[in-house]
Amino acid sequence: MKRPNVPKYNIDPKYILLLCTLLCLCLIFFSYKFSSIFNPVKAGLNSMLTPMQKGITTVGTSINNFFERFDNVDKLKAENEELKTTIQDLQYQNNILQQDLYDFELYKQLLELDETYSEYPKVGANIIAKDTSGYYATFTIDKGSKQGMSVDMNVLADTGLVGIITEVGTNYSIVRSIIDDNSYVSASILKTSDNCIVCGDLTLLDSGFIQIRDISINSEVKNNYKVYTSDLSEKYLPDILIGYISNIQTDADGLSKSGYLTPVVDFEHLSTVLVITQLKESPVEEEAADTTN
Amino acid sequence: MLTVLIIGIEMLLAFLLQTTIFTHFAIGNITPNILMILACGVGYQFGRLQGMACGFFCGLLIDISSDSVLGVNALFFMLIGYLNGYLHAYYVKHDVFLPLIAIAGSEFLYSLALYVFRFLIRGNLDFVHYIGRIMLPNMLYTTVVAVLLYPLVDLVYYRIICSYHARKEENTGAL
Repeated sequence: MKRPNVPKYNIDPKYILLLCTLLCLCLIFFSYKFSSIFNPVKAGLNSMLTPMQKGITTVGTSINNFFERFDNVDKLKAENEELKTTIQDLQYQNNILQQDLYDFELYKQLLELDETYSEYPKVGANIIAKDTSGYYATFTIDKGSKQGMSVDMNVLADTGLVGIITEVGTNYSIVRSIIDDNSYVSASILKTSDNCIVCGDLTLLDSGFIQIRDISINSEVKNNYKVYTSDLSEKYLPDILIGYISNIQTDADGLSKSGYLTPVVDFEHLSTVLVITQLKESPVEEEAADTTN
Repeated sequence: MLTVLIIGIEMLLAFLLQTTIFTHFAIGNITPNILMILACGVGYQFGRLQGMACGFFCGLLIDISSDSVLGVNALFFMLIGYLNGYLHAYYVKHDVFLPLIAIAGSEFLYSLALYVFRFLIRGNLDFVHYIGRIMLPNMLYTTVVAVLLYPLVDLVYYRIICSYHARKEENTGAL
């Protein structure tokens, strides 16, 4: 069979390459410098792609679920037995806790504490695509500005922090997870109230850990302490569980402690997430409004 | 025109599969880079200019869907498509060996470029770790998948594009 004649051009491809390279460099420069102009363009193009990604993911998941159903009967039976014993355990614990709660309410009244733990409004979303270069831990979810998402909203799964929304289109959002190498979260340790920084680290990816650092040298922190997002953070809402400390060590410079953190979220098998639709700034603004009144 | 359309569809398909289905086949966070297989294939089959154009749009698709700066992947993919275009001079019908080597090399270059651009300039000097943990696995996995997928790209090229051109030439000959 005859192959198509590749048309001959008079211009050497070398010059066209040079031109296109310059074009790309300009594109990089301008999209970095003027991201406010380029982001809507990017978002517009991306909103054409996401419905397709969503469709494929939905079909893929349903096929997967169909086959898993046959696979899992034995496993589910065993799990059911296990859960039944856990329920009994928990019921017992619950009884004790309810008594404690009664005491707690009493003490609270005595102390006139009416600050309750904040419950944030949440919206569920499905993961429809993931970054594939191996370097980043970002993913796309199927809700966008149309469904009320906006940049800097916190993302949860199960009981822990997953990440933060970094980009929003009409029908999709891109989430950067806390295991991404570019992610930094201001956190605090529950028992000692020490502030610290939790940051993703690609070199620790296989071990399932992320880094925790800048803990005060005087801190009495121990392994397995719980770490929550702190009040100090600009973007993350306070009191969201991140994970448990392990392998805590004093830094070489002797000025701070650092270690590893095991996230509570299983990032390998993430398929649905919860987005907190409240931004960090809003309560501050409300308070400011209150004080001016 | 048909050629452009078909390659466009292939690109879109490759992109969609890569970001959705193939993320389920990820081994240790490594996903095969199907767009790379396509960009290399087009460069090999058509030449430098076409490889460059295909690479540019493949990279742009990745740029659009990730939160990185627009144009980075486009630039890398474009250069890779162009380089693969040099292999067009050694084109042999249904050859799989040369394009596979090209794909492996290209994928390695690509992840190396990403490392330099996103990690080295931030001061991450642990090059050995990245080479062993990301670049080489990326290259291996993509090449293994290319063994299965490149013949498909080749098939599309021969069955649709070449036969279309052959028919067109027959028609013009008859006139």
